[in-house]
Amino acid sequence: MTDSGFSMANSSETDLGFAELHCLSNFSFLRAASHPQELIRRASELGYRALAVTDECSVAGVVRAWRERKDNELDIKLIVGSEFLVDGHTLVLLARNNEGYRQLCQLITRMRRRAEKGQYDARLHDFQQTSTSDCLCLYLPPRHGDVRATLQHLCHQFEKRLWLLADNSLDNDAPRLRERVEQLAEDYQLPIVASSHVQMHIPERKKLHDCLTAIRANQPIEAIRHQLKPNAENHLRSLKKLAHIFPADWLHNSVHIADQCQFELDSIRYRYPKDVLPGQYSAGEYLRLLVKQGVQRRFGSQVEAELWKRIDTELALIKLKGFEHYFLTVYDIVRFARSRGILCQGRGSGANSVVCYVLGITEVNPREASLLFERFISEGRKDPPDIDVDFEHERREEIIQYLYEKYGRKRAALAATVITYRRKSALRDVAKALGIQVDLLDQKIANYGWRYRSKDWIDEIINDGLGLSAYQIDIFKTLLKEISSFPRHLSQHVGGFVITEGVVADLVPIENASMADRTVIQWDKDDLESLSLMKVDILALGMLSAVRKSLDLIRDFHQQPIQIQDIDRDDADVFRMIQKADTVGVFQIESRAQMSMLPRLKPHCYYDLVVQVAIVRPGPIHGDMVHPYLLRREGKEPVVYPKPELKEVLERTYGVPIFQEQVIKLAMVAADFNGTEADELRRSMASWKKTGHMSHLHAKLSEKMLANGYPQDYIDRINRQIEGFGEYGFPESHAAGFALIAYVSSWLKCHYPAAFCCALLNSLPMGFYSASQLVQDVQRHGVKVRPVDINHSDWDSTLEPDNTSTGDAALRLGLRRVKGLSEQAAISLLLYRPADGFQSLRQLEKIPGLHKGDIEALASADALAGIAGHRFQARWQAAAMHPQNDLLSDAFDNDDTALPAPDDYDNLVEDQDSVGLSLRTHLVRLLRERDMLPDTPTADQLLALANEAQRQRRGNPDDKIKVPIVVSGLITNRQMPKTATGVTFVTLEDHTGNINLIVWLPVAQKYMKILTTEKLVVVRGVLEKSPDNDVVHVIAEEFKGYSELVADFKQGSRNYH
Amino acid sequence: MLWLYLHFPRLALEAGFLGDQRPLPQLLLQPGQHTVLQCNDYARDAGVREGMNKKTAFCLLADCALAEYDPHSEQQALQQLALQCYRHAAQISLQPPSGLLLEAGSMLGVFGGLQPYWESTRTHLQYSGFTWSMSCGATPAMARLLAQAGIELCTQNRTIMLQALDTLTVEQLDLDKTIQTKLMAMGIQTYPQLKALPRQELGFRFGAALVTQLDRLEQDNQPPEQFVLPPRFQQTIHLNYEAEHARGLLFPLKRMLLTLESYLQSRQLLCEKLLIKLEHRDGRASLMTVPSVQGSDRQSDWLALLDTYLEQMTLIDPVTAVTLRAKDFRTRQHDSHDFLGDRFPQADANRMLSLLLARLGEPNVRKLSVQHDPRPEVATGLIDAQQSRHTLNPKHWPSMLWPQPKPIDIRPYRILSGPERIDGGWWDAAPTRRDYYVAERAQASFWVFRRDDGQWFLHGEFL
Repeated sequence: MTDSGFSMANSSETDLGFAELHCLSNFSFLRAASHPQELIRRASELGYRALAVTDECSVAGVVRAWRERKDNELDIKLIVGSEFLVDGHTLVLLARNNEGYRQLCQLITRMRRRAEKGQYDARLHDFQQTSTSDCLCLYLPPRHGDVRATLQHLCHQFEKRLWLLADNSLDNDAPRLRERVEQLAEDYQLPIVASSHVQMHIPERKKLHDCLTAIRANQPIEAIRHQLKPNAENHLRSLKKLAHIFPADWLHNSVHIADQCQFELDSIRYRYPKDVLPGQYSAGEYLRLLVKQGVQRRFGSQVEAELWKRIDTELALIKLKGFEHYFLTVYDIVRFARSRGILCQGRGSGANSVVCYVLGITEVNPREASLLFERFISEGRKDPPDIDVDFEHERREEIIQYLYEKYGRKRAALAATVITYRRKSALRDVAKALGIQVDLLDQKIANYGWRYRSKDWIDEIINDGLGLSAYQIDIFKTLLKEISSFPRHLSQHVGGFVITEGVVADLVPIENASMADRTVIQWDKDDLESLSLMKVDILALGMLSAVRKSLDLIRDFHQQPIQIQDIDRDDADVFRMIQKADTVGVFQIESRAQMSMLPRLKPHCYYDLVVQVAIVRPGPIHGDMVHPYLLRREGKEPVVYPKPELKEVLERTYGVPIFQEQVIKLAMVAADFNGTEADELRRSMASWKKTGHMSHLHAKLSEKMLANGYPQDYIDRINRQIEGFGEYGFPESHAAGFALIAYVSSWLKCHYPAAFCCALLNSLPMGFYSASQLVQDVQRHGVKVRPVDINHSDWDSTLEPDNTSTGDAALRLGLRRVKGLSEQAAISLLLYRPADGFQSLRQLEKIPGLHKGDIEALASADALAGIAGHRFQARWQAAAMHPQNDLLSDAFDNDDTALPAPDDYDNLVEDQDSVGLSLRTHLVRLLRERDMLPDTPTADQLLALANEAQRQRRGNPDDKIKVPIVVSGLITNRQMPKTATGVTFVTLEDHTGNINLIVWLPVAQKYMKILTTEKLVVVRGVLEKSPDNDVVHVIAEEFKGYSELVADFKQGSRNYH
Repeated sequence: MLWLYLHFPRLALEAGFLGDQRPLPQLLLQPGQHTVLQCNDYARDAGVREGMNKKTAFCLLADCALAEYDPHSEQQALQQLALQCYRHAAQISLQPPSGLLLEAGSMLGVFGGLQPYWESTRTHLQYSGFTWSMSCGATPAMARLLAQAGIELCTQNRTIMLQALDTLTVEQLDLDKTIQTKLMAMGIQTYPQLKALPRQELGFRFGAALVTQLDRLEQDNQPPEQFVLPPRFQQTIHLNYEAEHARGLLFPLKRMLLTLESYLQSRQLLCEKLLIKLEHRDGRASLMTVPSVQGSDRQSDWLALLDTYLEQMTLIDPVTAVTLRAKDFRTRQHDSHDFLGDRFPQADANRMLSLLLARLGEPNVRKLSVQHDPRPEVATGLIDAQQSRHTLNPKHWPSMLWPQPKPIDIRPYRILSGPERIDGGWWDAAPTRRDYYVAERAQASFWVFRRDDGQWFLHGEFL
């Protein structure tokens, strides 16, 4: 459609130059319908001179536009600016130069910092109080209302730097607005600049724009039609069209303004903080000095020349890249942690160096693990190496406070995480906008999730689940595709800190996070990386808390001071335990998937654990790399390389790519990727699956590998593996750090099971298992566990001497396990506990801070058994107490009501409810003893049964052993892993252990009712085991629910009393 | 005394699905809550239960119908049921959210004993379309707890009632949730267990309210917690004179309207229709219906309306008695006009509409409406007189559009201004992209548009 009518004189078309100076990207959340990348690309295609990305009080999207322009060498200027809505007036500020950018960041920070998370509060005098001398201002008058005061203020504030924006949107009001702008221009002697008030790169995004408007209003589109734009004119319009609808001088003005803006994003200067340097040293000298001291500490005075050579190489590389300050900053944080006795452990590409090892940043000695620093620092990469440091989760806050204290809040801030639309959130929000009932959608999702779960389940739901017409289905799908990966809001990164020499807000605006006193910058880690800003990851890891607490217990109770570095890394007992998958509670290798891999992979050294940690992940699984790896490891398949040049890349994993680094290196070797492309590949793994702008790398990888003679099948697998990494990337450099913690926790479990379990209980919530499962496991290892007791328990769980228990230590459950008991009350209780313990309930009444609710909680936990009888009676008595109220204390002393004692079942239920676990007879055993459950094989008998069958059978020895079987137990876990569609993993618990069930889709569908609603089941199926390892599981064929039985049991046992 | 309690366990669900005959599982959900509030038998057959996690229920049902909990419709349904049971009780007490308490003792004589009374109530309820359970009880609370537990006792025998009570668990006693939890934590699970405990000890531990609650359960002659107004308004005035002219009826009507006003206001309802029955001297009766579109609870409003009615009415015979019945109530909505004190113009418009409707009949009165939509033909249109309106900022569009845009040759026209571009309507499958222009031809101004394909249309005229 062409335009006419509005066309003005002066269309001599000498120079159609134009710069769009008012453009929102989707970082103005829910206001605009295009990515910054799309906008800059489209503007470039249309031949614009420049594009200003001016998101609302934000610069969060500019780095993406900048990178897009750089990567594709687009011939267009990018201007950094921001839009502010001030009392209904729209102002756009553009950075003229570095100083202007700095001013813009400060201004945004000011407005954001005094508002709630995600909001900002702009006032007109802000533009005065924060210097804006190097910013240009564009003013868009509101449709109605008086503008004189505002304009006068702006004219004064932005003398010769103020323009009026005209954004002819061809709507009903356009002629009037145009007259209004012209009148204002005349009245105030201001120039006018043309703009499209861009909110999408092409008009086809109008539907999405409407949809976003509805999402913002949290109402269906039909209900908010008055808020929608009447047409799609707010897009990047062609120069021809612009010339039709704007006077030429308004267009010229845009170029004139753009010419004044000379700021380039990569010119912002990041300076490393110098605080970590003692005065007289340069960074290089100081680092070398620390390394020397560290070598002495780690290796003693006798150091082989080989090691020094390697250190020199590393230091040279660090110097070459200019990373000295970075290593020193991380060192400083770790040093602080150590001085406070906080355990920490570094991981990541920078951490696998001898330098980090001797600086104490990591306990992984890279020499022992065949890890090469150079392998992780790519030559092409300009950005800082990545070191994540994990700290004890309960004490990470101390580290964060240290950073704030040392660098001040102006110099240290958290990186942002951009929360984007995922498939499910997009589905919900778009559905809502289209007026579809959300509950209905949830019902469909839940249903398809269980029943059909194919890869395209979303398509299936839209196609036939919601009763939509073909037209609606089509639109729904288009919108879903468009909205996916749209940013939704900024959140705080889990622990990525930006630390600067100057003020952070000079580099990037800061805004409030949801946590009080937390602030985040407007860029995420990819943005920081693009601009080479340093980030240190301060992460929280529950297992480190547990390890530290274990070591404390071992020191205090067993009188054996042990430190992580003292632990023998080649302990055969530990690896034997790991190979048996006896790893409940251990870091990383405790999940069901990991456990079923352990007996197959049979790790026998540290590096095996590195592989183990990384192999049970979507990457290797989707790439079908797991099976070949295992076969080659066992020597059942020869180790061959698709091409000899890949040997170096793949040798350490038997020629099978397992790690993310290997796949990237493979792309360089096999598909001739250069350093930049390899970097891009790493960054883009998350979006590998999606088509669109990523496809050129995808295509290149496939084409080049094919050209270089790789078979198509291999290329497909590599591609799938990359997709998998995108879902959950797991590089070797991180696996190396995790494997060490996995090993250390295994060692603790192996040699000090009571202390380790105790430490885990005191660090919950963390890990994969509940307190109940951890305690049952430790009991099976011969450790005595004693109940919570008001006269014996501390707040934490503790160890008590007991020579009938494994390791001569029994585990006493702590008061922290009592649900409803506050920590303060417990501490007060412990403070007032007489040396010989409490003798009566009455003594508790006088303890300050102990409330009735606390006493009732203790009663229900059966912790008062020693002084007040059974838990029901104790509750009855506790209910009559009036702590800290002497007047009432004697009122009903002669009550002799005696309540009946709880039966076995009552006790189990009450234990579970108020302590989260029970030390009494397991329900399954109770029912068996009363002949109420069939006498089926127990969990601890399954392996023996399978082995017996294996001994007796004839036929092919490589076939799986299959034995028909019936088992029973309580369902403790149901899982539908993403890596294996069509299967549900169910865990049954009985009094001897856990039984792993595999439920295939048809069976799951048939017994859905039982699977979702029953706790106690009897299952008929087939016991399966491979001939070469001890992994057993039951393939379920038929379920029977027994919850009714529990009710009967309850009834029956009550009658029995 | 004897009480009959009617419990409607799925009142909200069934009110929400009134008229939905599909044999589908139905769930009642509440936004922000994760559990199923109520469900029908199809859903129960599939394993769904009240209180079950919504997600679990979703897994169990391949296909189902969902409704959101609406306390208002639930309340209305209960009132409706109360109306239906009006004949079966001297006194009905609404027991929100889903129960009715009927004083049964004094009705037994009318029905000829408990059994016929019980059967008659049953039969009556069967027409309601709602699921219910009912029970007799010697006290209101007793009847309620038994009915809620699904124990349907048709007896006046107190011993049987007490035996039935003894089968109740603590969860079935309608106790305060905190107290219930605490009792269960002491192993007190049944009513007999609870009953056996010394009352003063219970009072000391759980407060006097529990003791009162337990006392009320078995002690006689409890008055119902709540008295409700009869659900309908009906009043008859026998004239002590014979009115020969319609206007002569104004006086008695005025009195009845006053009573109606207080009735409506105490129930916080508006009346939309009055039924007036005139009994004539010769034994015949005349009926008239007086609707009000806006609905009102004011005597003055109704009087003004009646005035017009009576004015054009000729009596067939002198009148001896007047009966006023009011039905078709609805709840009052507080509109801002009342507060701002500018109710008059609106009231006038409404009165005018009522008059028009009264004289012309509903199908013959339509309203012009403007609604928000970029497409002119959707934005303006005729709607039923009873539909609510939108108010809009006026656009510079012609006030009258042609029923259908007419294809034209643009050449004879002269474009005055434009384009105004319109692009929208994709949401209801009628995506529309047009450029509108004001064009002149033969001294008249027209509204024309051009479609994407270049074809021009005439859409309206500026008058």
